[in-house]
Amino acid sequence: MRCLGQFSRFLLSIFLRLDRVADTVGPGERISRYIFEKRHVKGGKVSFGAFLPSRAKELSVYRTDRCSERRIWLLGELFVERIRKGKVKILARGDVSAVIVFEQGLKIVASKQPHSRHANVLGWPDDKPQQRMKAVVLAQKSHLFVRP
Amino acid sequence: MSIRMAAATGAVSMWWPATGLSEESNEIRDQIEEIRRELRKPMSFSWRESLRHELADIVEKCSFAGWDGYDAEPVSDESKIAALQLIEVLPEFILAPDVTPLPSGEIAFEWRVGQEIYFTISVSGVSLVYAGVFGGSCKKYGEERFFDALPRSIQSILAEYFPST
Repeated sequence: MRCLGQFSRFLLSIFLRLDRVADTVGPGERISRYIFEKRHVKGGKVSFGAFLPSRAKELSVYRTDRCSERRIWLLGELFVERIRKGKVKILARGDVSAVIVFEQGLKIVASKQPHSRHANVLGWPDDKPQQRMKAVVLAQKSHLFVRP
Repeated sequence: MSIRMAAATGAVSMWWPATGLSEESNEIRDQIEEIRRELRKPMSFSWRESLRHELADIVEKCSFAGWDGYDAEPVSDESKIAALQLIEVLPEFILAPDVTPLPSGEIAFEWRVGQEIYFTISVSGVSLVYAGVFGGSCKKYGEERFFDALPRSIQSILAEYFPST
């Protein structure tokens, strides 16, 4: 039974590599942000810290529309967790609809690397309070999923 | 010092001499005194203390680049000092906040009530950044100067949305 499970996981990972999505991100798409830091999960909600961009003003996300739960976690494991230095583990993820991101005046640009579903949230303002406000809204409107 | 003089000055209890009869009794007395000190503490003191512990833990665990699994900057001692200053000036009458490390290496405090009310502040140098949502489309965000007192605008937000009772 365990072998069967591993085989199905192997097949899923092969299909995952062949996955293709449209170049432009639609407003109805689901966007997932993988979370590694336990303090970015607070009382069943995602902290805004998980949605703040890096110094390069990019927020790395995955387009997980039409993906099963199993597929989403495998995507995270193979294309996010495994390419990290050290042994950091994904603990959870925050899902938010693309339309919420667009409403904040931000863009979601497909980056295709390391996977066709990878994208970056761009267009963050330089002004810190404005940047913070957008991250707060994304966190507030997001849904938390803890890794099984 | 005579027993009468000691009792008058309050230096030691006249019913409880400063020198114990044994090492064991000294230990018990210390423990009882510790419990009494704990009981005398106001409630707010305990959440402040717990925030300080959490802060120390964050500084220890997030002191390397990429602690968030992405490109986060290390949480520095400066960030810790700024956060400690903020803890000291938080009002007594509010709910205890959560402490959160940020990808910029700063430390923020956040309060949440239900699904709709969510407020965050952080200090970096003399600048205090805040942002929050307060139900419906009500948003408040901005930057204030921070020296050794919490700006009035922040105090009134905390008093209005996050009272402890």
